[in-house]
Amino acid sequence: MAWTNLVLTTILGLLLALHAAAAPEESYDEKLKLTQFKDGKVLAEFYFTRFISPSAVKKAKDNHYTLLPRSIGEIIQSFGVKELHLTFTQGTWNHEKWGYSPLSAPGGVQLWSWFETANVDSQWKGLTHALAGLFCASLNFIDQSATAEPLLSFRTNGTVTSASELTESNSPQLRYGSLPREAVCTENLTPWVKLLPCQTKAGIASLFNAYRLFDGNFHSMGTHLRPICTDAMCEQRGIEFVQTLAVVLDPMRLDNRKDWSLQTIFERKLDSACPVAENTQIVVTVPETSGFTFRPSPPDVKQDGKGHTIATYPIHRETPKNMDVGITWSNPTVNHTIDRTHSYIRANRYLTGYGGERGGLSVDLYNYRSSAIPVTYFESIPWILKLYLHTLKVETSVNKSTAVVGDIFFQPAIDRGRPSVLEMQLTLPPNSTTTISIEFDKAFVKYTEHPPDANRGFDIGAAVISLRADEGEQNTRIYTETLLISLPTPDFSMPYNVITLTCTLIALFFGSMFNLLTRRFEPLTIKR
Amino acid sequence: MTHSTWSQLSSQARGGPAKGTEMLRFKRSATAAAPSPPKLAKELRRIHFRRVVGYYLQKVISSSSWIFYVVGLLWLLLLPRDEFHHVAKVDENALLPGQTSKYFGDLDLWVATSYRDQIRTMGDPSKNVSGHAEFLEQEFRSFGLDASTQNFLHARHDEIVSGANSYAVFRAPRGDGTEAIVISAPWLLENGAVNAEGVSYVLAFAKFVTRFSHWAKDFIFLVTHPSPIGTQAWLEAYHGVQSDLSSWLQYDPLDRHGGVIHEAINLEFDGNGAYSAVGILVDGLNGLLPNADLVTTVVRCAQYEGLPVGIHNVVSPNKFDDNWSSYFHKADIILEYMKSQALGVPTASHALYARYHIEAMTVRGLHDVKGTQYPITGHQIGRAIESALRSLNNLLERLHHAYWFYIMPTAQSFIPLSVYIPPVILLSVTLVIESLVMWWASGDLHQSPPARPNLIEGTEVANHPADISAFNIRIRPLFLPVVTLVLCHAAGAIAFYLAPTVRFMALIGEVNPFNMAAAVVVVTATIYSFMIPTLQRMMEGSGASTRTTAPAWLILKCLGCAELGAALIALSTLNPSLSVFLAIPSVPAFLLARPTESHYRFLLNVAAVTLASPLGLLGIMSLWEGLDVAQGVAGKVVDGWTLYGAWLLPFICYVYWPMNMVANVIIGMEQ
Repeated sequence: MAWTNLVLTTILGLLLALHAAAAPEESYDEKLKLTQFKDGKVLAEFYFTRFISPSAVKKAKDNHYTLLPRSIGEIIQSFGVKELHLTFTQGTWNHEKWGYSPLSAPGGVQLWSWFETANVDSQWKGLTHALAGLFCASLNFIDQSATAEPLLSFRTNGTVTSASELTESNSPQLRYGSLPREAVCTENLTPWVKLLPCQTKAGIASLFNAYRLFDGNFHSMGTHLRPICTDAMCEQRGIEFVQTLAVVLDPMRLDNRKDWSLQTIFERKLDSACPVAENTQIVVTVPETSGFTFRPSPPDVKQDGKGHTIATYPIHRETPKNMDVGITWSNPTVNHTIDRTHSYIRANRYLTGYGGERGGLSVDLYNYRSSAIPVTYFESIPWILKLYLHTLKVETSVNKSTAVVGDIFFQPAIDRGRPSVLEMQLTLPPNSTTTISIEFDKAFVKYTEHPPDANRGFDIGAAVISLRADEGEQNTRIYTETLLISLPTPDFSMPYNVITLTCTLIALFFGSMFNLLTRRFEPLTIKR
Repeated sequence: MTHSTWSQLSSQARGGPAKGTEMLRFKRSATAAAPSPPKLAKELRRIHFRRVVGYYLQKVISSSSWIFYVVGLLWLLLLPRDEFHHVAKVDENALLPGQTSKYFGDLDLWVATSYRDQIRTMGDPSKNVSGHAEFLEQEFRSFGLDASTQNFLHARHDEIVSGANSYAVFRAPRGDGTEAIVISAPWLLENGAVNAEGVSYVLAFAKFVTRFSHWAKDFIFLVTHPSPIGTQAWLEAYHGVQSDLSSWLQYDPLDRHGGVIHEAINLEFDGNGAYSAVGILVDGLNGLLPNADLVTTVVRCAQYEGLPVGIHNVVSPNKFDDNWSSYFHKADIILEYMKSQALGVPTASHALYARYHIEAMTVRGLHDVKGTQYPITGHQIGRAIESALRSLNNLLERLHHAYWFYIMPTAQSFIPLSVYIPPVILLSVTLVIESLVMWWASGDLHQSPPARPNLIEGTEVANHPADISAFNIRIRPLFLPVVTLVLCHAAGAIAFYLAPTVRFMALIGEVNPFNMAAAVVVVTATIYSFMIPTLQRMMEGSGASTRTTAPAWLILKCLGCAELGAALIALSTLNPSLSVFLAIPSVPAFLLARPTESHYRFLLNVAAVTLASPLGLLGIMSLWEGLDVAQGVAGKVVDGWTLYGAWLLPFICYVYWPMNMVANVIIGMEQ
């Protein structure tokens, strides 16, 4: 028996050694950021970050990784995806009151991806179909007629190519698509949660209570994939896979109080950290410096100098079960004023005109700062709106002599082929309102192209305003409202009735005919 | 028989003017078999029969076109009968009126009541426009809504009125912000009272909606002042209509938008409490109506809360003593309804939404209504509004299932298009037929039924029928009628361009309405009695008929009848009430109009035409309801066009009045 013990010990030792070697190759972190706004709403941002080192990528056989789900690995490999950002969002992010967050997203589904492959269009099609299956969403409806190729707006977050790789033939290409109508619900959450190493059994994901997540004022779950350089020359690239979930909850609406804790907003407490996670922490941010108490009192509190107090709670395996984190306020009043130093840009997009034949689209961009702000405006409009480029106007409220518009990129639509894409570089003058407007004709679409609820109309996805990032900062994007446009709609009730009646008749006819044809009429001899 | 012969025969069979026909010949083509004489005779008989039928049909129609008018009138008189009414049902399944649990409770009512008291104590609000807007904006902000104020200037006659609309957008927590419902209230009511409770309900609901996450659509809370011009300014700005510097109305652009507005409910509750019922107002600008589902939903929701609902300030009892009292009660309401629709000027703020394809209606509190027993409580009103909002919030699409065309005899029932449109069309179709009759009358002089054709035995030749001759076909003079039509339309256009100026002069009191009417009568009389005959002499000689030329008045009447008839029929699809009110006096006047030797007949014609003229109609109205009412209506019609674009004035000036002048000219022409 001794030698078997020895063998077992050796194997165990080897495994441990392997594990020790693997640990830096694939790492996993969990982070929950809870931020209370001045109006009492609480933003909960869940980050599930995985890093796969270049050596792990090389080693992976048949897409088997330790921490990266195989389905994601397959997507990277078979579609030549370098970077991918997919968000499912319900509700509207209030840029004015909640500021700018990297997790803000337009309503519905947004997908953009950088490819490094020869035939991007077919790979993009494959990618949308694969993701549609993976996330139970109608992503496959992002076809060529809904796909855009932004030139300026969606720069890579990761390091896609090193300088040596930047050649004409092999330069990475971008595809962007959105589905403003996609309703996001638990059937999208479930497959998304299944990609987590601990699912909802342990770690911060155990707070996921679908009843509460989908009762918030904003709900967005994201899947982000990007390459990360591991050395200075960017010879080696690992993969960062981040799953994010942002939800804005309103303790005022739930309890009519500004006080909150995990228990009151999620109806759950934190049991334990996910054992796979190297690092789990909860960060609570409050927009005040006094007048409140953290419960329980945190091991680490600091002020960020902008009037915020930030508390950090590390979660370990030793952390007691049923951990609850929250804030109690001594002053229960909420403040609805808008802080213009933090939300210094506002966009308001709306439709103009009325009637079924033509209309217009306007965007007001407000700059509240006393300095000019350079932004990039991106808009992808489905072909059903026939834009007239000669009606494109950019007006600003102050200092009309300033050049507001820099580069303009416009791609006209092709019916059922591709959308109109408008991309502009603007410099918003200080303390000004800049209005971009364009007019269009409404297409008369075939009756089969109408959605089932034809009298609701067609959704036009959000426009994207990218603030040009300062050094070392991530790009900030602002999303405008989704718009609803009604095209000339036929009365669908008559065809519906005809179809129903015809189908009933055919069913009756078929039933009796089938019965007559299949039944055999034969005399029976009954044996006694 | 060849094709050419066929067409020749059939053209004569229609009784039309056959030119240069002396013999009916049946040509035989070389290849075709010769028609045997009996077959030929049969063919001739058939053609003859057609002509005879045509002749008698013409005769019958010519003498009895007035029957359509009478039938239409009788049918209209039947409309108040219950057999023609449908009980209003909700066609859109998603609405489910009254099926949700309601949460509007004591606390919300307390909020409303305390706001009401506060608004009442704000003193005379008309003097302090920005003050109230500031107050409202601040309150909306305190609920966490995106609030703003739109200022506008409105040139009103001789002064410039500044106004302010306060509005706030509630973003639906789970929605994507693409659709919106407007809840509006004017700050001041039409009678000058402060809309204290209406505004307080708007505020209470702005606070109320933030407590729930079940809203799928944005709510826009809007308080306009002054109204309804404030609503006009707000809606134009919302839909991106650029304000023109020279226009009567200038406004700021909006800096907040919700989604596409699908429905709007306007609340008018003066702060006196003690309402005995709620009333609904449905007809919008130019008589456009909201979808019947919106009306039915609001009425149902109110009824589930036990509120009596009235239309035109009348609540219909459930039971009547006898059929006649039911008939007169409903006839009264229908008349009020049609009067209001025919005028087409905005009755309240909801009227202006129709242009933008927004279904809108006004709900107002009524005092001292006959047939109601108990005072209604604020609770009931709040819960009824909440219930209606919940129903509208359920909608996935625009309202599109139910009717847009209906007449409401009570708040709970309606007369559908299919029932009321035939009499409306019948009234005006009389004119179209009369026009046809005039065309026939001017063209040929058939006095006897067509004679039987006489085939000469054994030949292919028939005897020439005696009644087909170049001598009983007349030439139709067109020049004078067309010139008259053009001149009358030009006169109408001048009246149209003068109308705002006259209105302004009347307002600042420089013109006595009697003097003005007298001036118009004198001028038109001069034109009719002096200028038209002179013109006619100059252009046509006497203008009277000869054996070869039809009298000019026949053609003029033909064209006039055709134009007015077509205009009224087209109008009936847009604003049936207006079509009815214009057809009833003008159709008999036009039917009667003809030059005559008899003095009595002449006086009768002139009286009929004068009564049917816009001035005559105003005169009838002033006799019926008083001079003030008539003056008010005239003013409203002019303002309706200049401020809101109601097209009653252009229709009257460009179509109706010129046609009336044409009728006048016909009477003055020579036979």
